[in-house]
Amino acid sequence: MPIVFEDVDYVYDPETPWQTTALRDVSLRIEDGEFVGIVGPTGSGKSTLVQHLNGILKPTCGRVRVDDIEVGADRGRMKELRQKVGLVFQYPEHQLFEETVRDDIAFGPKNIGLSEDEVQRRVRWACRAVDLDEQILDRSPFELSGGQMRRAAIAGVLAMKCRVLVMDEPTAGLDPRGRANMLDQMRRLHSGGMTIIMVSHGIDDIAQIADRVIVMNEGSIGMQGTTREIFRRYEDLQALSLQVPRTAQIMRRLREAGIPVPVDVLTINEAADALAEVLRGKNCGAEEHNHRSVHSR
Amino acid sequence: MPETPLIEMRGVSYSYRRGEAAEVAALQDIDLQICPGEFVAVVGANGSGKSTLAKLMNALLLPTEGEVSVSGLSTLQEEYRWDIRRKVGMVFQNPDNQLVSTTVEEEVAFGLENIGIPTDEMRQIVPEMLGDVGMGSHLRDEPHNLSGGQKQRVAIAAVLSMAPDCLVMDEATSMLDPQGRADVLDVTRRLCRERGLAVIWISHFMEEAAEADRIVVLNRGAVAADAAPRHLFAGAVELEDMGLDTPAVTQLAGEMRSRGFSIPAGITETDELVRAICQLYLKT
Repeated sequence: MPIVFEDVDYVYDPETPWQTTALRDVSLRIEDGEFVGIVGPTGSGKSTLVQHLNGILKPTCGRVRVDDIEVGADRGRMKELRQKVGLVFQYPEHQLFEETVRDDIAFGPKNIGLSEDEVQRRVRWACRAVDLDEQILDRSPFELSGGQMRRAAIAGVLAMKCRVLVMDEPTAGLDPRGRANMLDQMRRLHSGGMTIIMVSHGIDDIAQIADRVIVMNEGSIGMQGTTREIFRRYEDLQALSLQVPRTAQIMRRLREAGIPVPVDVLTINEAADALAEVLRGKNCGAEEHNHRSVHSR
Repeated sequence: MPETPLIEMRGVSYSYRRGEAAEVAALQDIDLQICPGEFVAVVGANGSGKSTLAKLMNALLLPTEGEVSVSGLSTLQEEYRWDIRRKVGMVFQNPDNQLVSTTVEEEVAFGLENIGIPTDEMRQIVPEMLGDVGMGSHLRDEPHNLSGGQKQRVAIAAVLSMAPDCLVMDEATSMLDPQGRADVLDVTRRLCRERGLAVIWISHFMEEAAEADRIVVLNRGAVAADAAPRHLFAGAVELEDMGLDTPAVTQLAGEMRSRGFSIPAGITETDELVRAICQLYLKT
């Protein structure tokens, strides 16, 4: 069953001089198995939004439903909610605390009273899901590299066998290989049926991986649509000081220089294919056709 | 004519927990020179030794072997360390861990006070430094109300007030949003150009590194390459094997070459690719 926000407002420090409205009239729906990217400038409400998903925050007005659980209202079902929705914060490695990686990953499953066998099964499964070598399970989390620590922290959330995984800036601070690996792992989890919601400043990452994008602006939803629809809207994004993916930026420059390429590409490969098609068409004497297609766009 | 280096590293190695069973060799046998006014990017996978290299440059760490000198002063000599830290200023990754004062102007005045600058001189310098980083209209703001990018620019201003010769930016943009990142890079490049400050720019973002005069690639604690961006990205070094990648425009150029189009190697700027494609397109 889906995640539904209906007319949600969230106010920090209500009825004090510091009162700030972080979310205003947010309505959205996320279906099972979707991969949704959430983007927006700093302070636009992205993190506040996702913290409603597992009940860390409760809406000041409006309703948030995850399956048949109403966040904030069904108080007795918060534990159930947290098993459904796993939330990985920014820099989750800062929250590792146990003596061994194994204990850290096992913390959640143990806490909900699973048998030791089941706990260990889940620890091994979560490790595999994030590509962590089981050999490091008995080491201190603080001896791991930055990328390994991040994956250990994510494994701790996955070990709850959540159906929805929410990740806030999962690739921040990782090197290019670490970033690519993280995206691969998310892709794998998604193809296994998990709903994934990823908050990120990394427009290029979102472009590669999300089905749909929600753009937050000053606490409200600025735009939403398929990834391609959203990243086609160059001017609208720029008005929110957001960018289109780097590949799309290059294609725009080519187009400005008179090369009739599409500008709504999302990956390098797509861009190369489209550009090759235009160049080959030209060499085959298809110039007229291409020029017409520029004007018709 | 070889310029006198501002920072020189000769045979530098550094190990954490030296002498213990868990000793970790972070850097091995580094020879590196940084000239005055150069903009040098340092890239490398997580754990390749970038931050260790940075901390050796201003005597926050001392080499376990070899020698680091700044304007000819060795960091091994205790009496030079104060001077060296003034010459080589550092800005770190987390914008929330660097500011200590209650207002933006106090943040910059703090360092000046420490080196005994008289108050009326401070009144002149502080707004000037903050103006230089585009924060001139935020003098009385409280640091915690600023965005990450603004905080990092205040941190740069605080470093500038010490009149350094070199600014070391240790992943100073990695926690910022794209706008904040662009602003911090712009300010840093301008300071390099206009004030002749040398800059060490440590980053995971190849697009940023591509704008440097020179890129130093660290791999497992050693210098794997030290070259101009276009040479490096022309494919002379297997960056992917080291956990790195190349700018999007370089990748696209490579994909076009592998699809049989004659595009020159080592393209690092969009304009270059546009020119090369236009040439192909207009050729009949």
